[in-house]
Amino acid sequence: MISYKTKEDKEEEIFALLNPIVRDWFKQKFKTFSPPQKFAITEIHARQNVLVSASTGTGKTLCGFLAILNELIDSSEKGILQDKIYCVYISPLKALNSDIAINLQIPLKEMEELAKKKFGIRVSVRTGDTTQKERQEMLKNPPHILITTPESLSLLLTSPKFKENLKNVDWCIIDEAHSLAENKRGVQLSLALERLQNLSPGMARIGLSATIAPLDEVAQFIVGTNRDCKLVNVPLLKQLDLKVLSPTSNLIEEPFGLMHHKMYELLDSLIQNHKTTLIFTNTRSATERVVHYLKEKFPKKYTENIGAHHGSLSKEHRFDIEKRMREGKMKVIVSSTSLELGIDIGYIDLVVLLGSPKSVARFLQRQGRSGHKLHDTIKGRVIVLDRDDLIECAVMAKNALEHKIDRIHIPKNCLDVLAQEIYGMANQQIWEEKELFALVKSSYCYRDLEKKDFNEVLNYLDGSYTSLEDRHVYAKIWRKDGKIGKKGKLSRVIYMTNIGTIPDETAVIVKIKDRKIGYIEEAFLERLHRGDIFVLGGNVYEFKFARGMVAQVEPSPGRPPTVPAWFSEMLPLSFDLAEDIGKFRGLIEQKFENNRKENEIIDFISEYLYTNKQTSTAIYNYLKEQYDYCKHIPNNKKILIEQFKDERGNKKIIFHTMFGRRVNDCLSRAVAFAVSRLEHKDVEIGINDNGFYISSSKPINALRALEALKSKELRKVLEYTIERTEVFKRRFRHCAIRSLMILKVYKGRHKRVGRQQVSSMILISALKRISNDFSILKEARREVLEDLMDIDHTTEIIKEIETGKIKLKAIFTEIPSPLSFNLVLQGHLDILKIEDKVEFLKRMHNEVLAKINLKK
Amino acid sequence: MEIYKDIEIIDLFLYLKRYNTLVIGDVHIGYEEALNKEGVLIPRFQFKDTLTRLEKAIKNKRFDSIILLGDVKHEFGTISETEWRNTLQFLDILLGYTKNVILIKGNHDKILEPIANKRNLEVKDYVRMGEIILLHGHVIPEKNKDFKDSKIIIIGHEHPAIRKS
Repeated sequence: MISYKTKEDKEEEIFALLNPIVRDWFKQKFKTFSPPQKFAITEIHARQNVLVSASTGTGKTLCGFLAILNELIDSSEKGILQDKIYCVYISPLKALNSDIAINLQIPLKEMEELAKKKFGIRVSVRTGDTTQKERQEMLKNPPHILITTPESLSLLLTSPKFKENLKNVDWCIIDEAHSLAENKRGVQLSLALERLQNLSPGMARIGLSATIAPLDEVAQFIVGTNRDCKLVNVPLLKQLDLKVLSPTSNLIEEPFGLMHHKMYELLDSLIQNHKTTLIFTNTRSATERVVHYLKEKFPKKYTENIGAHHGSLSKEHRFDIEKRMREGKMKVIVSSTSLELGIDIGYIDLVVLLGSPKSVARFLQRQGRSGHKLHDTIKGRVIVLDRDDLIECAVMAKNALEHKIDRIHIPKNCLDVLAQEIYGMANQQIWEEKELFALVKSSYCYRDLEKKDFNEVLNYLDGSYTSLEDRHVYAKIWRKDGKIGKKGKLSRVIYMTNIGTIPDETAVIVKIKDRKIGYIEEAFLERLHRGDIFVLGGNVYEFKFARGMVAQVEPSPGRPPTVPAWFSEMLPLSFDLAEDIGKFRGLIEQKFENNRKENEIIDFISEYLYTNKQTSTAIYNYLKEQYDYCKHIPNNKKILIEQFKDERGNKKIIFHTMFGRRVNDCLSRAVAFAVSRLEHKDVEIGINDNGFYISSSKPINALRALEALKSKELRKVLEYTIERTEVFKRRFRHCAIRSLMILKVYKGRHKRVGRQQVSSMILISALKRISNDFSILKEARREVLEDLMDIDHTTEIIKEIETGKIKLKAIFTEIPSPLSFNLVLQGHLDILKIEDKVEFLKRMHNEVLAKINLKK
Repeated sequence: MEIYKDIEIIDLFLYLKRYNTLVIGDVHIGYEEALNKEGVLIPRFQFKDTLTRLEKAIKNKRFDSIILLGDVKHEFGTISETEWRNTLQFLDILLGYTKNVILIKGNHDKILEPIANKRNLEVKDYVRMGEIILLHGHVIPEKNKDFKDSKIIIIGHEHPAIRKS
C-alpha cells in the first residue's frame, strides 16, 4: 500500500536511533534535522520503502544516507561489519556519482576523526568509466556502499561473479527519480531493480525526487507492483516570490525595436539589482543571443562576468563556467536546459526565465536554482513577449504558488526494453518462464503486461519467428520445458556492449541530389512529412524523402515554412497546464457572456492568477478583443473551429484545441485522415501547443471531420497515419537497437547511425511479412503514440466530444481572430525578420479592432 | 511489356525475343545472411521469393539461353555455406529451363568460378548478341570493339527501386 506519512518524527526519537559518534557529528555540523530527514530517517532505519519528494537543497541526499551510514558505523564499532554491499546507490548522471562518493567520504572522515579510529567503510563508484583494476578490486573486496548508474546495475547483475555480491543488499537508493520515471532508462531500471530484489528479497528501496506528480504513481514506479511505500512529500519550504513581467504594458502595439530595447533594459535592471542571476531560455540559440545582446547593449557592465552554458558547448567550457560560478566570479549566466539538474553552481539570488518553461514542474525546478539555503526565498521572474505566453506563464505561476504540479507520463509495457532485460536475465542464470513473467510483472512499468506480449518477446528472442533451419542464427536464448537460458558464445559480450536505451544520434545531411546544403537534427527530421517546407541557413526548402542519414530536398523559395526551425528543441506544453489555461479562458468567457463589468473582471483575474493590475489588464484586453471580435473564447470545454482564407487564397482552418502539442499532434493527424477519407483531399498541417491548422486549396468541411472521429477507432487510425512517417521509421530503429535486433556494436565494430537506419528500413518490411504485430513493430508504434505523442489524453478528449462535454463551434472569419495569430504566423517566423513579425501582428490586430468598431 | 523492339520486361526479368534468351540481373544471393553477420537479425525471405517470382514469370517456357547479368551472390570475399547451397540450387533450376546458362562477372563476384565449375559453366565479362551487348555495368570497357560497335547496352549493377503507381 502507498501511504502518505503526514507526521514528522520527534527529534529525540531520531537521535535515539543514532550511534553516539554519528549523533555527535550531526549535532556539531547541522544542529537540527531538515524536514525530509525528520520524516524519512526512522523509516529508512526500519528498512521501509520510502519515496522522498522535496526540492533541491533540503538535505535529501544525506536524508537517504544517514541511517545507512549510522548502521555501518555502528556495526563497525561492534565489530560485526560484514564484507558485503549494504547499499546500492543509483543516479542517472555519471558526473553526479563521483560527487556523491566525495560527499560520503568527507563525513566518514570527519566521524573517524571524532571517534579517533578507522571504521574501514568502503565506498566505490562503478560506471562505464571504472578501470579494469578497480573492477577486480571491487570483486575481491566489495564496497559497503556501491554507487552506480542504471545501465551498470544491469551489467553487474549479469556478471556471474559480481552478482554474488548483490545477494544480501539492505538498501537501494534511487536518486533523481524524477528524471528517470519519464523515459525508457527508468523502465530499464525498474526491471533491474526487480532483478536485484530477486537476489536480495529483504532490500528496502529509497526514492529521492524533486517535486513531481502524481506522487503515488512515482512511488509505485520506485517500489514496484503491490509493495508498500511511505510517501514523504515535503512542501516547498522556501517562500516563493514569483512574478510574470512584460517589458511593456502593451504587448501588441509597441514597436518591435522599442520592445526589444525595453526588454534588455528590464533584464539589465534585474541583473544589476541582484548579486548573481541565472537566466533560462528555451533554445540554445536564444542563449547565445541573450549573451550577445547584453554585451552589446551594456559593454561596460558585461564582460568576463557573463557566460553561456548549454549542451552544445564543450565540456571544458561548461566546467569552466561552473567553476567560475562557484567562485562567485559570475554576475550572470545564461542557460537552456543544462543547468536544470543538480549541478552545484553556488549562490544564485535571482532566476529569470525568458519565455514559458512549458510545465509547472520544470518551472519550479528552474526557479529552485535560486536561494539554495533551506529557508531562503526563491526569487523568480518570467519575462514574456507575447500575449499567449503572458496567459500561459500567469497560469503556470498560479499553479506553482498553489503547488499544483503537472503529472508526468511513465512509459508502460515497452517490449524493446523487455527484450533487452530478458536477454540480460538469461545471461544471468536459467529461469523458469513462469518465475520470469512474475518478476517482470512486479515492475510497475509492466504491471499490466499481457502474457501474449511476453510470449511474443520470447518468440523473438528464441528465434521461432524464423524457419527451423535458420533458427540457430536468430536464437538469442533457448527455451525448453518451461525454462529459458542464454545461447551462443558471444552472448554475454553482446549484452555488455549493446546495453542501454538512449539511441545513437547524429546530424542528418540535407542534400539537393548530390549537393550538400547543410545539416539538421534527427529530431527535426522526425517532424517532416513529404512536402513540408522548412528553412535552413536562411533558404527555404521542400522536404522530399530521407534515406539513412540523408534528407533529400528541393529549393522552394518564397513559400511559408510548415515546420518551424525550433520545433524539435522546444518542449511541449504539459497537458495539465494546458487544461488549466483552457479552464481560465472558460471562466473569463463566462464573465463576458454575463456582461460583467471591466473592473470586476480585472479584479477577478488579479485574484485568480495573483497578477498585478497591469498584467491583469493586459490579459483582460487580449481576451476581450477575442470575445468582441467573434463572441467565442476557445477553452477546455469548447473547441473553436475557425475558417478563413490566407494570403495565398488557400482555405485555412484553425482548430483552437488548447491541449498542448502532444495531444494536438494526434488530433491533427486524425482530422487530416478524416478529411482525406471523407472528402478525398490532402491537406497541409501545422501544430502548436494551443491548437492546429489544416489548409487546402479547396473548401473542407472541418466540423464534419472532427465529428467523424471515434474514440474507439482512434488508435487504429493513428497507427495507420504514422506508418509511413519519418518519425515511425526513426523510432523503429531505436526500438530495434534496444531489443538487440540490430546490434550497434558487434564483433568489435560500431555501426554508424546511417547504416543502422538503412538496416532498420529493410527490417521493417521483412518483419511486416511475418506479422504486422511483431513485438518490435508494435513497440515502435506504442512509443510514437503514447510517449512522444499523447494518445491517452486525445482519446479522453474525443470521448468528451462524443458525449457533448466538449462543444464544437465552427465560425468563418475574414481575418483570423486574435487567439489565432500565433498559429497563423508560426510558419512565417523563420522567413520573416522579427521586426516584420511584430508589424504583421500589429496590422492584424488593427484590422481586428477596426472590425470590432464597425460592429459597434 | 515490350520496352524496345523484341525486348520485353517480364516481372523482374528481361526477355530477348529474337534470341529466346532470359536475362536476370543482380540476384545477390546471401544478402540477408551478410546482414546477419553484421548483427542485423533480418529474417530470410529473399531466396524463396526469387524462386517463386521466377517460376511464376516464366512458367513452362524453354530458353535457348539464360544470362545472369552479374552479382549472382552478395558476399565479396569468401563463399558462405548458404551461398554455395543456394547458388547451386538456383543454377540447377535455371538449367531446367535451358541448356545454356551464361554467367557474367559482377563486382560482387570476385570468387564465382568454383561454383560455376561445379556445373561446368563459363564466367564471362560480357556477352555480345547481334547489336546488343550485355554486361554487369560496374566498369565500361570503352576500348573494347564489341562494346564500341554495339547499339544496345544492357547492364545490371545499378538497381534503383521503381514503383509503378
